[in-house]
Amino acid sequence: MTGTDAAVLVVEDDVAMRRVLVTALRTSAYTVIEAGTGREAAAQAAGRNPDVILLDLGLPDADGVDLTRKLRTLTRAPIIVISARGREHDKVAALDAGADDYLTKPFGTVELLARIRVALRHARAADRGSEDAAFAAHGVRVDLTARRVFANGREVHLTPTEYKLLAVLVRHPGRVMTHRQLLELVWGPSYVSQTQNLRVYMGQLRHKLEHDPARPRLLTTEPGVGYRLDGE
Amino acid sequence: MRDSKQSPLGQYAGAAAIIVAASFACLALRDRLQLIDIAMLLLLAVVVIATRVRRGPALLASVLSMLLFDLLFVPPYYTLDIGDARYLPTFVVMLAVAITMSRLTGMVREQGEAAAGARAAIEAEQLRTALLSSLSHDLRTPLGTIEGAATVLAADAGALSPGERRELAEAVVDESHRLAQLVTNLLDMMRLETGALAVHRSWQPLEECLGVALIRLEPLIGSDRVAVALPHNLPLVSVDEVLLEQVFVNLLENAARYSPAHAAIRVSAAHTGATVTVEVADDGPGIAPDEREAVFRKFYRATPAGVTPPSGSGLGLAICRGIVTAHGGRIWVERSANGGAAFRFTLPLDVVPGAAVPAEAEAEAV
Repeated sequence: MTGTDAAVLVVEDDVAMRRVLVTALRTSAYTVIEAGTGREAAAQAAGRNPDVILLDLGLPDADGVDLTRKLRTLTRAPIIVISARGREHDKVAALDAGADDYLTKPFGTVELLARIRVALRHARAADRGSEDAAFAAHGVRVDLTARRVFANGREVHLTPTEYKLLAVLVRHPGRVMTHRQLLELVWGPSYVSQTQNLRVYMGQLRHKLEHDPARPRLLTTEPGVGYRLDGE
Repeated sequence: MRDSKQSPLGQYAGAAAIIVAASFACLALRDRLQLIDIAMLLLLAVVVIATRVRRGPALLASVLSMLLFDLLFVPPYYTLDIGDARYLPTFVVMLAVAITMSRLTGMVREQGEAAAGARAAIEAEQLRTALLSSLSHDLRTPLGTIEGAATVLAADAGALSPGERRELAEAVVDESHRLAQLVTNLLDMMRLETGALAVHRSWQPLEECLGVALIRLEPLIGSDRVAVALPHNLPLVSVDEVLLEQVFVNLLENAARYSPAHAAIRVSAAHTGATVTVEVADDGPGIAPDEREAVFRKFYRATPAGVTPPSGSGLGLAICRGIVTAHGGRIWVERSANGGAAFRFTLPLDVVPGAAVPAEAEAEAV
């Protein structure tokens, strides 16, 4: 659970919350950069070159979604936004504006560190310009080169759309994908509001791949936001 | 005449009718009674009326009785002439008695009404106080534990064993969860009550919503206790997934709390006409018929025999009702097949789905 000395920019206005986040990250061997306002966040993101940004969407001096967009122009570092339950629209807007993941308050340190690890891994893979052509987790194996899918050792036949949807998720393991992002990547830009078909195809994939489709382990739902392929 | 709350017109008519009836009763006995006896009888009627009605009808009764007394009993009969001035005091006394009686009874009635109002206010206040004290107890208990454990941890100079440190830290974690849950419930309830709850509907499989709730509850219920039986041809439902997930979480949590550990909980659904009906059933003690409506009231906690009242906010089912109602559905509880509680709710389907994305050619791709 060590951070391999990656630098995390923590953007949080609440002092107590920031102290807890900073302590949790330092004890996991991350270098921590702190910012309490949107202005500071932009300055630190541009000047200190962080590897990951942790951004509370509820800053008093800046709109979280605007700030996400601004930070995205300053750095390629993955952005993990923090928001409260019931503010799913904010999370979706931030994700669509370029954030990579989100955490819902209140959250535990274990979850926080897991998200940071996923974000770092994803960013490094993107930097190398390579992505894994094979994926295996929860008894499911996907070979993107051969376009073959196995569940519990047996090959599973998917329709073209089912495969396309699964492949998009496999290319972003552990990362939340919004409904809009998935619809755009699988169906195309003019279908981004047609979530019910996405849900239907996701249900079909689960019935073909999950041990118990009512309790999905691989293709998890992010309520009100989208889906995530669990790669752990 | 018994009900002083009857309409004013009714009171006037009733008062007049009684006086007329009493006068004609006396008329039949006119030759056998002394004038003073008749005056007394009419006065009695006026007094009785004055105790039952408001002042206006009481005055009418006394004036009418005076007039009838004069017309029918004071010679010369059937005229308003008063043959003898000694009857004047009788009239004055009758009028004075009627006014006094109606004023007295009016005062008594007002005091009674004020007392009833005060009683209702006191009862409402007591209820509010009870709710507040139970709520502040529910909020303070976890806060107290957190503060206590954190204070000991913060002041520790190495005296605590690793096991003790861990125990204290876990208490902080557990109680923060409890507190977060309670605050979430309170905020949801507030949103529901103030109408600030926005329902973001979209068409989706019930299974997905239920799945999120099942996974969220795994730390509490485990993964094999809930048996799910959803028909394969269940249509999509138009719901706000975050809200419906909360309904499932609350119902499942309730079922787990009120039934023996490891007892099965069953989730099923059926589709009839333009409605999907969902059921969450347990093998607990069930809910008594007279409590089946009350359990949906906020802060109400069912206390089935043989079960220690579990600690909950008393808001879960009230929130479920609020959310289901906001979706145009209905929620109620029945007796389950095994004598436990079977919570059922409906979701209407008569909302037109949006345009679909183009269907793919269902050729096997891989």
